[in-house]
Amino acid sequence: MEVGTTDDAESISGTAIRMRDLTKAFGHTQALAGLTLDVPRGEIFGFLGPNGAGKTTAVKLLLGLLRPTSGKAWVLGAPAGDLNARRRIGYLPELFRYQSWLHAHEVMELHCELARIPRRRWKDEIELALATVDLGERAKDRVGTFSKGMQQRLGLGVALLGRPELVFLDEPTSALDPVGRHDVRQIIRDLKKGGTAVFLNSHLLSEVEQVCDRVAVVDHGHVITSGRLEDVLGAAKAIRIHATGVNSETRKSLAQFGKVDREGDVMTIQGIDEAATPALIATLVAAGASIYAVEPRHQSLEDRFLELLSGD
Amino acid sequence: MAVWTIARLTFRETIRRRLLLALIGMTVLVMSLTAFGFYKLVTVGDNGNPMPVSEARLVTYPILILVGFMFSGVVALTAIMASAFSVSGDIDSGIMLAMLPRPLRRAEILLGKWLGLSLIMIAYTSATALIEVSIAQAITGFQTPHPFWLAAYMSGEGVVLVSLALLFSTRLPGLAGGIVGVVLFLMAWLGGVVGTIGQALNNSAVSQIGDISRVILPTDGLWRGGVYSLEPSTVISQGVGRGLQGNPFFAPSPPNSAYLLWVAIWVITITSLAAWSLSRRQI
Repeated sequence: MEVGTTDDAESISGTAIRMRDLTKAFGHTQALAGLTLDVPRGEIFGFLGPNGAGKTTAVKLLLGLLRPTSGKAWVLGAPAGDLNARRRIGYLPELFRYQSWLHAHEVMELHCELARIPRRRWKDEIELALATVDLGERAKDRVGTFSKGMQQRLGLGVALLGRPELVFLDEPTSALDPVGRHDVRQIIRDLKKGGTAVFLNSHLLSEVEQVCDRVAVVDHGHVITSGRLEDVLGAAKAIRIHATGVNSETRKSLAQFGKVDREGDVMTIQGIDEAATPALIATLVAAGASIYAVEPRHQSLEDRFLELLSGD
Repeated sequence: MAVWTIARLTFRETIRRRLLLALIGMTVLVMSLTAFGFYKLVTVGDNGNPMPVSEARLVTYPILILVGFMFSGVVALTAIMASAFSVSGDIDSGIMLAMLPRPLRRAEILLGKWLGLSLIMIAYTSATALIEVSIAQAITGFQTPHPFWLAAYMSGEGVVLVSLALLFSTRLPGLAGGIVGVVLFLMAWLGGVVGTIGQALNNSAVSQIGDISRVILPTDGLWRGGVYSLEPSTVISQGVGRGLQGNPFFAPSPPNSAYLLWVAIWVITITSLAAWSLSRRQI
C-alpha cells in the first residue's frame, strides 16, 4: 500500500518517515537536492546509493543532528529531531565509538538512561539486547577490548534498547563476518515481526535484496527510483531451463521467445516476456524434451542499481 | 536529568582514565616535599639552631603563596586540557554521534560536562588548598587568615578555565583549544603583573592593562584573591606602606563583590556561548 502523498496530520502519522523536498548544502556542496520519500511503518526500507550520494546526511537530518537547508521531514509523525519521537528511535551510526573505558553493560545502562527508559525495565532490556547480539558473555568487558565487529554488534544492541518503533541502521554489517551478517539479517527480520520499521543504509546489495520490502536509490542527493523491491527490480527478463532431449531444430524454434544461451543441458532464454513462459514450455514438451526445472531469472539488485546509476 | 547523567559520566571518565589518580599522586608528592621543606625551615635555622616560631610564621606565608602559585598553574593546566579535549574528543571519536540521537539537547551534554569538570576542579582544588595550609599550620604554626576564601578563589579559577576551554572544545581540536587556553591564561597573568607595576608607578595607563585583562579573563583577579587570603593583616598594612603593590605576589585587597558578580556573569555567559556553539555545530 502506498502511503498518502498529502501532508495532513493523519497521513504524516501513518508513515515512519516522510521527507518533502529536503535539501542540505554544506557550503558550495549540495549533499541533498530535494529528497521526497515516504517510508511506511513496520517495513524494512533499503536506502541505497553510491558513496557521497547523501544517504548518511539524510539520516542525520531525520534524527535532527543536522538542520535542512530547505524542505521538511517528519519521523514517527513528529517533525524531524523532536525529542519525544527520539525516545522511540534506535540508531546505529556507520562511524561511531562508545566510551572505551566503559563495560558493554555500562554502555547499555548509559543509553537506557539517555533514552529515558524507566529504570525498572533496564535489566530486561539490557539482557535481551545483549542476548540478541550475542554479547551476553562479554557484558562485563571493557569496550576498548572489543574487536570492530563486536563494537558493531554492541552498537546494534544499543539501537534495539527500549523496543523502538523505528531503527536506523547505517552499514550495520560492514565489520561483520558471514555468520554475523546472517545474524543481523535475522535480527532485522525479527524487528519487522515486532512491528518496528527499519531504515537500512547498506552497500551490500545482496543483503538489502534479502531483507528489504522497499528500496530507494539516491544519487547526487536525488531519489532516482523508489518502491517495492520487486517493482524496482522489474519483471523477470530471462528464464533458465534445465531440459534434456532438446535438439538443434527445437533450439532454433525457441529463438522466437528470445536469445538462447546454452550450457550443457541448461538453456537461458534472455529477454523473454514472462507471460510467454507457458508457450515456451509447451513448445519444448511438444518437441519431446524432458523438462527438469524452469526458473525465472530476475535482474539482481546490483545489476539494477548499476543500470540506474549509469542512467540506462 | 540528562545534565546529571553526563556530569556523572564525565566524573567516571576522569577516574577510569586515571586523570584524577595521576593528579592526586603528583599532588601528594608535592605536599610531601613542601611538608619536608617546612619541617626543615623550622628545625634548621642559622648555625643549626631552630628558627624562632614568630620568624617561622613570617617566612611561611610567602612560601605558601609560591606553592599556591604552582598549584594555580596545575589547576589551570588540568582544567584547560581536560576540558579542551572533552567535547572535541567525543566529536572526533564518534562518541558524540552515538549519544546525540537520544532524546537530549546538546546544551544538556555541554552543561553536563561543565558540571562534571567543574565539580572535579572544585573538589580537587579545595582539598589541595585546605590540606596544604593545614600542613603548614601543623608544622610552622602559621595560620592562613582566610583558608576557605583561598579554596574558593582558586576553585573559581578552575571553573573559569573549564568554561573557557569547553567553549574552545566545541569548535577547535583538543590540542589547539588547549594551547589557546594556556596562552590566554598566561597572558591574563602577565596582564595582571603589568597592572600591578602600573599601580606601583602610579601610571594609570599601564595600570588599566591589569584591570582590562582581569575583566576579559578573570583568572588573575581570582588568583590575587587567593594571594590576599594567605597574607597576614600586618603584612598587608606594612606592604602597602613599603610599596609592595608592584610585587606580583602581593595583593593589598581582595576582589570586591562587584568583581565576583562579574566572574559569575562571565562564567554563565561563556558556558551559554559554549552550549549555543555546540548546538549549531554540524556533527
